[in-house]
Amino acid sequence: METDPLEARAALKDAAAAEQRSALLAKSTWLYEAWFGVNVAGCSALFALNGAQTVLLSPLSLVLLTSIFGLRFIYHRATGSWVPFLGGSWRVFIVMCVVVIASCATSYLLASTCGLGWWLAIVAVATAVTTALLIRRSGAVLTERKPTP
Amino acid sequence: MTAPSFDEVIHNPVRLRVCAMLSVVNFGAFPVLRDELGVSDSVLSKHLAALEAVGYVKLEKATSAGRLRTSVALTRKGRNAYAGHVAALKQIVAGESANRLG
Repeated sequence: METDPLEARAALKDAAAAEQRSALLAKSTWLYEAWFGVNVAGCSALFALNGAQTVLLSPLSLVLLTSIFGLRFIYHRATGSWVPFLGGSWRVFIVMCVVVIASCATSYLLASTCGLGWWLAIVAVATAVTTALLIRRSGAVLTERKPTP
Repeated sequence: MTAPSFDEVIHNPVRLRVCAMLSVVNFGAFPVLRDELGVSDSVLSKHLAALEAVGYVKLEKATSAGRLRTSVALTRKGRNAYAGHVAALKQIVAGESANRLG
């Protein structure tokens, strides 16, 4: 080891500051979070349309795919980075998976038994709000993380 | 827990901050790194080349809207080396504290 403790302490402080700054830069904005929520709600709606076997399935799939690519592009342009998918927290990720699967399954089952209706809007809004809040929490975990020293 | 391993390549202040910034993201854009570190294009390129030479970072160049955009990412080897270096620095600091108490 060719460094003295004072230098090591200063280096650790610099590294911690750089990690925090990077996490802050990569943190998503409210627009990204809302857009993310809408995309997940769109996935849920796709399952409903599939369950109801409507012709709207293909056009909505295209719109959703474009929206997801747009979301990724804007995020990268805005932050100059891309956070690892599990950069935030495993717990948030697991809850997110449960919410998405439950929402898609509910939509599919309701659509195949009752057909399309107002319930779809309620499920979509609930899914969008929940997932937007979860992705916000994931970003908060990233910036709250106590990194180096 | 990563084993402490002091790394001369990473220990340079600019390279340490590059690794620290990249450690929390999948990749970072070259201009963002340059602006955050407050160095010129050529200085950052030189440090990235040093990190790339030992396989710690991976540079990806892509043309988007007619402009060349460079993204930088830490490799697995780079992440391990950074974690080991940070552990080594902590060990040095902890050793000093123990000496002071002892």
